[in-house]
Amino acid sequence: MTLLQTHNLDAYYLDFQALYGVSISLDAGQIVAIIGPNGAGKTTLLRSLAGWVPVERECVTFDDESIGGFAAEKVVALGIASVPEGRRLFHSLSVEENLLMGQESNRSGDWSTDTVFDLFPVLQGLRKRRGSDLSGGEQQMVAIGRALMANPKVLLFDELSLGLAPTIVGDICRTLPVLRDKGVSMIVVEQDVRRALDLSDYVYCILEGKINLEGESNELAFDDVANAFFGV
Amino acid sequence: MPNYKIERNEKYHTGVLIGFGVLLVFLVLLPFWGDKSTMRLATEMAGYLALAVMWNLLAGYAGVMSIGQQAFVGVGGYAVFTLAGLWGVPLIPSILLAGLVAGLLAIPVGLILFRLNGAYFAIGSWVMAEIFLLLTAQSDYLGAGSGMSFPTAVAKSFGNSTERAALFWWIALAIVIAALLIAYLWLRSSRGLALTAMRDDEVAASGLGVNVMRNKLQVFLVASAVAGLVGAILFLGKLRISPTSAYDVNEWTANIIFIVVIGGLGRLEGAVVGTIIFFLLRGFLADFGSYYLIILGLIAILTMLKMPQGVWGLIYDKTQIELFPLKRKIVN
Amino acid sequence: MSELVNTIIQGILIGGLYALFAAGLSLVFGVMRVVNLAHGDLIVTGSFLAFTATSILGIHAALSVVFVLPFMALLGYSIQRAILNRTVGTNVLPPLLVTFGIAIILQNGLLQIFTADDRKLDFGNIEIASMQIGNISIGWYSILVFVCAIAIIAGLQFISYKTRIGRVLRATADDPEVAQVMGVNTRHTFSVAMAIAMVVCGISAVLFAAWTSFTPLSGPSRLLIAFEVVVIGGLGSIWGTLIGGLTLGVAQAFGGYLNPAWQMLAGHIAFIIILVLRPAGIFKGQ
Repeated sequence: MTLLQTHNLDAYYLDFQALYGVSISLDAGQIVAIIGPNGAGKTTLLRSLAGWVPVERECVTFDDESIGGFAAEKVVALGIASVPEGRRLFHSLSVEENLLMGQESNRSGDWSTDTVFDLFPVLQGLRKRRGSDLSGGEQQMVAIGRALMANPKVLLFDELSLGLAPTIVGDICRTLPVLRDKGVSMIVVEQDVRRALDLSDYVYCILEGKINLEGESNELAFDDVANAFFGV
Repeated sequence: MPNYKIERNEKYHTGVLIGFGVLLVFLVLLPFWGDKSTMRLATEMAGYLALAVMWNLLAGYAGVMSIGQQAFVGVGGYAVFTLAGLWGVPLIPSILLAGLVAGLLAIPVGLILFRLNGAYFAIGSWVMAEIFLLLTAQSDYLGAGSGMSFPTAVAKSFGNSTERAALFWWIALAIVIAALLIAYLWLRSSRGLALTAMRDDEVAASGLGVNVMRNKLQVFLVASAVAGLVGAILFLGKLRISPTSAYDVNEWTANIIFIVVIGGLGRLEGAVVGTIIFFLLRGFLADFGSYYLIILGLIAILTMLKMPQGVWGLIYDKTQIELFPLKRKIVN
Repeated sequence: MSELVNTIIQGILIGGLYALFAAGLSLVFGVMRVVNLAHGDLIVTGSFLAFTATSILGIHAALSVVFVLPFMALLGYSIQRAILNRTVGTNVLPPLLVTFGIAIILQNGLLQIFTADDRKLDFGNIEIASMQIGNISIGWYSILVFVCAIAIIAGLQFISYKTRIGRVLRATADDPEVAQVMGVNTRHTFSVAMAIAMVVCGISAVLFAAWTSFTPLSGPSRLLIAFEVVVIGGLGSIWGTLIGGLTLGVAQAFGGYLNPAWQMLAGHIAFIIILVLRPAGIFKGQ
């Protein structure tokens, strides 16, 4: 069943058009990866879905409802939560308070600070620390936990691995299937082609604001994807 | 390598220059066709316009939001009363010295206040003006809280009241022309570009080699010197000065801010248009007491929210005319 | 000697009230990054409201808070929601100019309704009663004001760190964009912050209205005091604000002790000295 879709989406970053007629689709229980070089429009795509970028109403549908251009707080209330690029924790709030901010969308469900601590036990001991005192990996866990506290149906994940140590990235990638099993579908923006193919069910490759390759992750050849990535 | 040069929008340039010339002759000859009250009104308008041009340079171009320019208006007024009135210094040197004193005072004041950023500078400058007010009110020499009158004998030495009105008008006209010329030439030069860069992004501008502190200080100094000149000439016209009128935030800053915002912040023409609108409104609303300031405040808020480019911005968008050609265009 | 001690104690006690003036200004700046130039005139509006409620209904001045606080909250919320939200996040000029416009409108509106006459709220016998310790006498009203100030500052601290709305306010101050992605309606949050600030202003308006007389033109001096306290105390620390209030109160009292006309001047000069010596305030905020 299709959960979240864009239809010929055009989007602008400041005065520049960043996306040209992009159509993607996320099924329930799926992990979709978006790959592409810097400046290709990946982040703008995710921001359009999350309500940070104004777009045409009909261009985005969620559960068969048009939601394009909804304010960010409305989008998350519908069940689309975000892990923003660079984590962006609230730096003067403690870890626990950061997690509690995830509940501001008032969606009911199973996620609580305790279940987040079950998922990332290391955060349990850091609960009173400020967001700014954590390592990059710990911050990413808090950012994921914070998004999960909204009990989302869809998680938008921007730059999963950017600036993180490889072992930490491995740990975090291993949690994605766990989350999928708990009913969270995901769109993940990732620069590392091989990792994107490994962790996802379906891949879109974006170049200069347009989709130039897409397919099931296990059916695409690495070389084809790499070529699409560089626009060769 | 392609050959680039910078061009300015000089549409209707000759027409504008001829217009200015005709207007100038008309204004210089004002004492021969206008009566005393017209000259006084014109003097006041010239003073406000000079203040508005300078405030626009400060806030609209250099990003220095001062709510304390009344400090320098007051200093100028008191300086001229002391120099010409008490010490018998001739009129013109007194006025020039009043401007100089105000400008020099702006240096230490600026050095202290520029430690504060943006909005904090704004209130800091206001505190500074309050200090000036309180210090002046402490000085018995300057008439303490009740202020002082300009000695009648000295005033008479400038001529009878009509002759004085004409004399003060010519001086005010010279001040406002100087203010406009300074602002225009400053903005036309590379310093003007540096100012705009600072206003848009101080950190980036200093990264490009703009000495932010020095630029701010220079603008602040010039604006304060002009405020001193304006204070000198306007209070000479009134022949009376007191701490509350000399350092009045509403008179010398609130009104000026409204003029600049309504006319168009960051546009030299805005000050001119704003001053005309301001005096028209004041004339129409004169019977409404303090409602006039309420209405002015409402207009300024609405302008800021709905039309932040101001009246001149609107005119420019429709016609592309610049009376003072400043916009740069790179052509091949 | 005891006169000097008296003066300084008086300065400390009014310093609490100054801290309250500043707390509202600091809260609004902390969350919205807006320096509200109408802050002082809003306080004076609160004082006039208390005055009107007391004189029309014939109630005790302290009871006027029942009217003043809800009104101030509503006024703050509406101004933010209808006007100031349009200027949040732009550069520094639009909010300053708009709040300046509001200040002028309030000032002249009050002038039109109440004229420029001096007014004062009457708290009754407590204003003249005092406590005697040796040669030193401390007015009960000053003590009441100081205790209220400490209680409200502690209350603000509690709201900030122990309640959901406080958490949302701090998060929004940190990063409004991400707060919105968490489901926070930031336009509402900003307005709530302004409403809280105005409630604090309302309390200080009532307390100050009985401390000294006021006119529609008293707003700017309240604003300048609030601002000086914030800068002296350092941004972002509410206890720093208290220290800033006490510093200013004592400086003014000491100046007034030397020469009654120097009271305000001494406060301003203390501010300039601290600005030169410690630009980030006595307590450097985080």
